[in-house]
Amino acid sequence: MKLQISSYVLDMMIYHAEKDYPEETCGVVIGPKGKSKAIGVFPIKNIQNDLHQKDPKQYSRDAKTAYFMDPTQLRIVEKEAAKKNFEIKIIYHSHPDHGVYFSEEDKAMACPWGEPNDPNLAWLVIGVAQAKANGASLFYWDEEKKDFLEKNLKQNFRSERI
Amino acid sequence: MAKVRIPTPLQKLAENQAELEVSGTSVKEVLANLEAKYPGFQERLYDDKGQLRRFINFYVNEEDIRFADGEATILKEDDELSIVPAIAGG
Ligand SMILES: [Zn+2]
Repeated sequence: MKLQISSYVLDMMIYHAEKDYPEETCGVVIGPKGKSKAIGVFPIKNIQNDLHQKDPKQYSRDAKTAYFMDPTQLRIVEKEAAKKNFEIKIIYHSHPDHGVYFSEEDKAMACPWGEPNDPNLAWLVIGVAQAKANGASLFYWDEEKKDFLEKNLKQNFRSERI
Repeated sequence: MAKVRIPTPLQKLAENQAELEVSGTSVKEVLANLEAKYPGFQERLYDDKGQLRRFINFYVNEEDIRFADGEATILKEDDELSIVPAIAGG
């Protein structure tokens, strides 16, 4: 299913990615169930620094190179969305100073037991360098290739961002 | 007896059920009883050091057990334990 993302939605995510620089931002975009529209942006707190401080062995990275969505916030957004017949369409996060790609860690977390928990989710990565977003791509699970395929969103970027 | 909600990729371990009734009064006990009934959960939920895997959220009702008592978190009659992959990455 091809997702429709308005420039407003993309701008909201970019705004948060730039604001949270040099740490990773993260959040979800919800849309009506069964439809290919992603319309509501919900930033979720990245608790990676807290986890890293509490247990640096298990959570070896800090928020500059990792994100971990606050489980409680995530749960509330999901439940409230479901009440209105909405669901999560996009999971987004940023890469401060390390480019736009779906990293090995991103893939491993999206496929906790070797396959995606929800193959219909789209994953969006925003690249940020020196507090300015410089690119974004969507990553979709491809059941045949058993991998994530990239769709660049450069054309949706305002000209001054490129 | 607690209600346990199983994530889609693991439902095949439990005869494709999304929700199970499992006895036990703590998260640890319930997960042990789940393993006894449907082998295969243990290795997918725990790492090789015997700790719950970091990429899974365990909710008792709406609360993540990381912020409660972890595995020792008490489950009362009719409480719901949800096993949900965390949303995280690098
Ligand atoms: Zn990433």
